[in-house]
This record gives sequence, structure tokens and C-alpha cells, in this order.
Amino acid sequence: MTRLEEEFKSIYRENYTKVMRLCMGYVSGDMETAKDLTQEVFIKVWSNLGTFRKESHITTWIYRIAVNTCLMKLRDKKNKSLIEAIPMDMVAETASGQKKEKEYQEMYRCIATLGPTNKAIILMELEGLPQKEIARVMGLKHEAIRTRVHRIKNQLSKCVNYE
Amino acid sequence: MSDFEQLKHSWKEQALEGPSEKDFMELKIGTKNMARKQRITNVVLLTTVAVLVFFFFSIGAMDFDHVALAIGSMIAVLVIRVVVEFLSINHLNGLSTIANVGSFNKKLRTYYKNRVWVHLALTPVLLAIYSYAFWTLLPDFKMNLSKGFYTYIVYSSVVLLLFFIFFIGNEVRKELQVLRELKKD
Repeated sequence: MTRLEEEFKSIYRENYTKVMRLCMGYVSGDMETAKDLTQEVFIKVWSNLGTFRKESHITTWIYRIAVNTCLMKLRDKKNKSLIEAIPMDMVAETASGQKKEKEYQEMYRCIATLGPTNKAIILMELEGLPQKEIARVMGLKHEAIRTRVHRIKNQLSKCVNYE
Repeated sequence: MSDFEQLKHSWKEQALEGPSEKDFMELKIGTKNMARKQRITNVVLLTTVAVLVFFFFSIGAMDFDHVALAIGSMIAVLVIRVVVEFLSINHLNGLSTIANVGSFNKKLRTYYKNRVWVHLALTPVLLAIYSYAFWTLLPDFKMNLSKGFYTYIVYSSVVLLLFFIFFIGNEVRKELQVLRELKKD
């Protein structure tokens, strides 16, 4: 394995679940589609790794590729609902498991009501990416991101509470 | 804890498996396949164009015989549409995904706007030329083919035309939907 390949493998392992969650947000929790999208994102990461200039953190750079790849795939949107998407053996049978499950369904339902840009912003906010980094990914000013995040947070909170 | 903080907490708690060694291997294969797929698409499209152009000359369309001209026009229409599709696919795949989301979104919107124009303006014009050329061939078909086969050609072409109109309509609908989605925020 070459040095670049090894570097990529560690980047892949470190960022895989973050990208997977972001992609799930774009496909209403359809795990299978999200997995395919995640693989496509990392194929692009691998082919562009040589051009990464280390001006930002690698995760920020990967988020750019991830959001853009998800936007590119809007046309192919044929996502299954969360209930169909999650295999039965993954659905917890306990009462708390079912409650969690319902919570996730609600979360994806509410995220799906957002436009693609707001979706990207809030998905990165949910991941805990600093707003300065989100601004870099989006190509917007930090102040604009702060205002948007505040607005989307309210929108999401109202949505999960059926207000 | 606010509703959003609770959401944030739940978000990261989702049970997701990390990548397996198999996923990594598939990724490596995917990287190689992507370049190969692009090459195959290029070869298939260029071969199609080459075959159609070859056919154009082999039927003597340059002799300006009306049958040859009609068939030549139909071939030219197909070649133009294939080339436009080829350029369009290449353009989409060539968009740089390492750009910031704002500028990528703008480029994607321009791409879909152009696609809608191709579907709404260019494709109907090409379809009209194709249909007209086909229509001018009907008397020759009637003269040279059996009545049954001629009837089959006429009816099947109408069905095919209706299918294309439905197909184009569907493509426009899908692309307008993506445009609306991209403009949403």
C-alpha cells in the first residue's frame, strides 16, 4: 500500500460515519442509498486527494464533496421511507428502541422539509462542525450561517413538535 | 435541554456501522470502474455516431435522392441528439465537487436550466424534423411494402411518437423539479 493510499484509508475510516449521516439526511434515512452515496463521495475524495491544498481541515473539504455529491444526485431521488429502508433486524424490539425509532423518523421527516442548502447547513450543525467551517463549506459569510442556523433550528424544533 | 440540543444528541446516537475492509476494497474497485465506465460511454457514443455517419454515406445521401435525403436527415437528427447528450453527461460529470456548495449549486442550476431548454426547444425541433422526414418516406413505403407491413409501420410510428412525447414531458418534469428544489433556500 502506498503512503497516499494509507493516508486515504485513515481519512476514510475517520470520516465514513459522518459522511454517511449527512447522506442519510439527504435521502430521508434510506440507509442503502446513503451507503452508495457515501462510497461515491469517497471515490471523489480519493481521486481529488492530490489536489487538497490543506488550506482547511480535511473534514471540511470532505463535507464540500459530500454535499455537492448529494446535490448532484437529487434527480435520482427514489428513496424508500425510513421504515422500508432500515432492515428488520436493526429495528430494536424494546419499547425504548421503538421510541428511538419513531424519533429518528420524525427527525428525517422534518429535515426533508428543508431546501438542499439549509439541509446541508443543519446537517453539519448536527454533526457539531463549527459554524466558521460550515461557512467555508457553503461559501457564505459566518454571520449569514449564524442567522440561518438560528432560523432552521426554530423551524426544526417546531416541526418535531407539530407546531 | 432544548428541542434542538435533544435532536443533536439523538443524531449522533444513530447506530451506524463503520466501514468494513470489504467496503474499502469495493471503493478501490469503484475508483477504477469509474474511469473505465467513462471510457466505455465515450466509446459507445462515438461508435454510434460513427455507424450512423457511415450509414449516411453508404445509402448515398449525398446523391440528393429524396429517399436518401430523408433517411440522411433522420440520421443527422439522431447524431445531433446523441452528441448533445454526450456533451451534457460529460459536462455534469466534469463539475468540480471540491468547489464550495454555493458556487456548485449555481453551476448545477445552470446545467439543469440548459437541460430544460434542450428538452423544450432542441428536442422538439429535432423530433419534428425526424417526423417530417419519416412522413416524406411514407409514399415510398406504401409503394414498395406489403399493405400489412405498411399499416404496421404507420401505427407503430404513431405509438413511438406518442411514447417520445411522454418521455420528453417526463424528463422536463423531473428536471424542473430538481431546479425548484435547488432554488428552494
